[in-house]
Amino acid sequence: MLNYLRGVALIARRDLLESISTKVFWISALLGPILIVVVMVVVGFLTAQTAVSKGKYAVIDNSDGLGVEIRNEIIKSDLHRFVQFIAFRSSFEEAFLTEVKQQAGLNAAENPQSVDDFVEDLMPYLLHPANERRSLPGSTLAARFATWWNENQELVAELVPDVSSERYVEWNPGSTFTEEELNRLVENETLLGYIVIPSDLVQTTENAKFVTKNFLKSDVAGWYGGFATQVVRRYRVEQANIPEADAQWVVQRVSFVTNRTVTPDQSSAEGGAPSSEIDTESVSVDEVVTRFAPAVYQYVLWFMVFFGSVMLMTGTVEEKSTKLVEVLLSNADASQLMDGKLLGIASTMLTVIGVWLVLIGTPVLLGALTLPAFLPIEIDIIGAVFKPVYVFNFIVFLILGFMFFGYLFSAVGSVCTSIRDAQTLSAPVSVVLVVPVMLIVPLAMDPSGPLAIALKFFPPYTPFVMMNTAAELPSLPIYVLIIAWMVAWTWASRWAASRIYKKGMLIESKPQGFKGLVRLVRT
Amino acid sequence: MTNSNSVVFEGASKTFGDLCALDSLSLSIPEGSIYGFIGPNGAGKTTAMRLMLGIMQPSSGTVSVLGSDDSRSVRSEIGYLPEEKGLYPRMRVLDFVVYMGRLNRMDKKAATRQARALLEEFELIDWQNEKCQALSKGMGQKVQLISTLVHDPKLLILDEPFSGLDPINTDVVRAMILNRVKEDATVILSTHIMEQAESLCNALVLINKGRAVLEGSMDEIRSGDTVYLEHDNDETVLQGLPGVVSVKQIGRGATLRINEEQDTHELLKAIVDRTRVIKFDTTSASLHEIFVREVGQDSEPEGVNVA
Repeated sequence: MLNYLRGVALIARRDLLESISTKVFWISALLGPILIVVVMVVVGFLTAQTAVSKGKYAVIDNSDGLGVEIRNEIIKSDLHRFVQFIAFRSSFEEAFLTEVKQQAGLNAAENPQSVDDFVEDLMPYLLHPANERRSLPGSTLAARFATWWNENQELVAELVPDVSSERYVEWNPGSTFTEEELNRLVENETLLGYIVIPSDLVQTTENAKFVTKNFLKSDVAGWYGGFATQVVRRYRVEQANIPEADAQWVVQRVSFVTNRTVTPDQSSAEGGAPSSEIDTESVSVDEVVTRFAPAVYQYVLWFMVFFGSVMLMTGTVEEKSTKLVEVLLSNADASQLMDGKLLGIASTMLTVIGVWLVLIGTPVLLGALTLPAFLPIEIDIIGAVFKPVYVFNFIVFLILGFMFFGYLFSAVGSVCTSIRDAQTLSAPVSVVLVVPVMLIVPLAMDPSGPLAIALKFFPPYTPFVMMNTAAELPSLPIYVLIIAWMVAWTWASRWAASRIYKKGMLIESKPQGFKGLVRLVRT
Repeated sequence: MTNSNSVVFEGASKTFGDLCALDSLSLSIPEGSIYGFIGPNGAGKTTAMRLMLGIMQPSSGTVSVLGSDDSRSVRSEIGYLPEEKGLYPRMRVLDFVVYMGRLNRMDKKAATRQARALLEEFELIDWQNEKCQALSKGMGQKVQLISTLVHDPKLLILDEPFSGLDPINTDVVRAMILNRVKEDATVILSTHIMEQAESLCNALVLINKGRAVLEGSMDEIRSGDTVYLEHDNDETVLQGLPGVVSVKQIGRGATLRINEEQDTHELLKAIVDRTRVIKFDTTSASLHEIFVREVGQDSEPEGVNVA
């Protein structure tokens, strides 16, 4: 046994040293995190760019002035955001804003109403149409601010990026523009689209429409519809002669605050008062993070198992191509060679992870330690994510999962003479391995559901499901049984793989497919 | 198995599905001998070697190596050089040899010492720190041979050890084989160079289609029933000669298989009556001739890699 392990260690060490002694390895390992961050930033940026449109839109208003009222509602909303920003912030580079804050008495914490009051003061100066506005400039604070607002839209967008004028600007087509002409502007992308307000929008939304080139990007319509709803609702309330307060009460949303049950055991374990009854308590952010952390663990586990197994398979094919296999098999058992290579790849991956932990983990850890101080909620990220039971589960099922799939992929690699053959032959196993990624969310949402329970006992998925459902582990005997079950299957995987490996490594012809593999196991 | 045999095959067969790669092979390879395996491609030589190495198990019969029916248990006493030679391209020469030594249970210090000594002996010491990919083909083969010897095996199994070597290196390998035998090692080799087998081996087996066609010492194999003739006619004039079993002629040279009791003097007289004789040689047939005779004229050694 000692000699066996010594051989395994030698083979693993050689594979590890060969991998990590190349410049390519270190460049990849060091650049990997940077590339990941760059890709994430680029993808995030592009997604943000594509998710939200930016540009001009037009409104064809067939009603009796609803379009103007909606426009005023939009201005009011933007003003409200900006004034609220002033009310929250204590100092400004712009001296005028400091003056506004002081003179208007804007203070979000002590006087929230001050924001609404100042916005009401401002609106007469910014109303549409222009002939209904108060004259500008004026000597009042509101008049001066309105002037400043009109002249400093870029600064407004810079200070408060989510003001709507930063994304959507209404373009006035004038009364002579027909829908056909607007369609041309939409088609050549001069306009994001145009909105048609029907004459009787208050009574029915039947003919209201938004015309755009890309129907998937309808965010303008959604955004505009929100303001239109407010205006139309106001009209309807007036027409129905309902008091404003009643109207607000009628449309008020109903929400249920999620609580969870707490058993006496849980209560005492969490330091609560001893009780003999099942209690309830609200769900903390820590608990939500703790509940979903296993899903992230599962993704990392899957990533390591999948890529480790593929690396193992390609490494095996390459080993065959060195023509050294026969010598190695004369000096070591097939299973020894297979175990050694598995351990070698595992060590290589651990080295990469070590590098990544230093490069990514350090800033992330620092972030996790310092971030809570900047968050409006109390949260112990480290405690919520790095629960001992999660870490234990991760280690156990990473080892079992990597061995289970690693041996299978090794067996496939052993009967192939080219990477392409290996990829073709391993496709069914790869498909099986991709499914757990698709199940990450459903499993995380219902860790005790029938899907999770069934898949826990399906060996190819056991490691991933057990990781994902770690927030609700089964009872200890069942947990031990599942581990024993997975160990047995891992052993079976190794047994079958070593039978294939022993003969497969000497095969120089093309692989005979799945049936060929089964025949190698049986003979 | 007796103590004087390194390897004993007893009715060893190996089948792959319907294919019989080796059919009831029985032979004994004495300790300290140089034993040759010859035969055409696909004859079953490599299968026989893999059975000796324990890489494969016989379908029936037994193969005993160094006194053990399980050659895996004595593998650290076996050195194997396969026909397909390869190295880890990115590994340094010394590291590679040491690695192979350590796989054979040597400790690092001893493996390094022995590796350096062998690199010195094979004039590759200046290359010890180079990567294997920097070596020429011939040097690479020598490095692999060194890695076969590094753990000082009692039994050397060499599959085509001269393949791809220039004459100088061929002599180096020959000398190594002879030296090892002097040190009581047993060498089993396959080669398609009949002259090498003839001059090196004490005994050999000729395998064809999985069966041993000939087996024995060189003297036993070469003695006997063949006459070599050179004449200036074609093969037809030799038909129907007394005591001649078969005639095979290539160019002016013909190999005549004769009955054991045939008097060669009488045969010569009969031939002279039919054609002008340039050469008449009753000395033992060469291995080349024996090979052609046993395997068939359509399996010329040079053309079919009759190793």
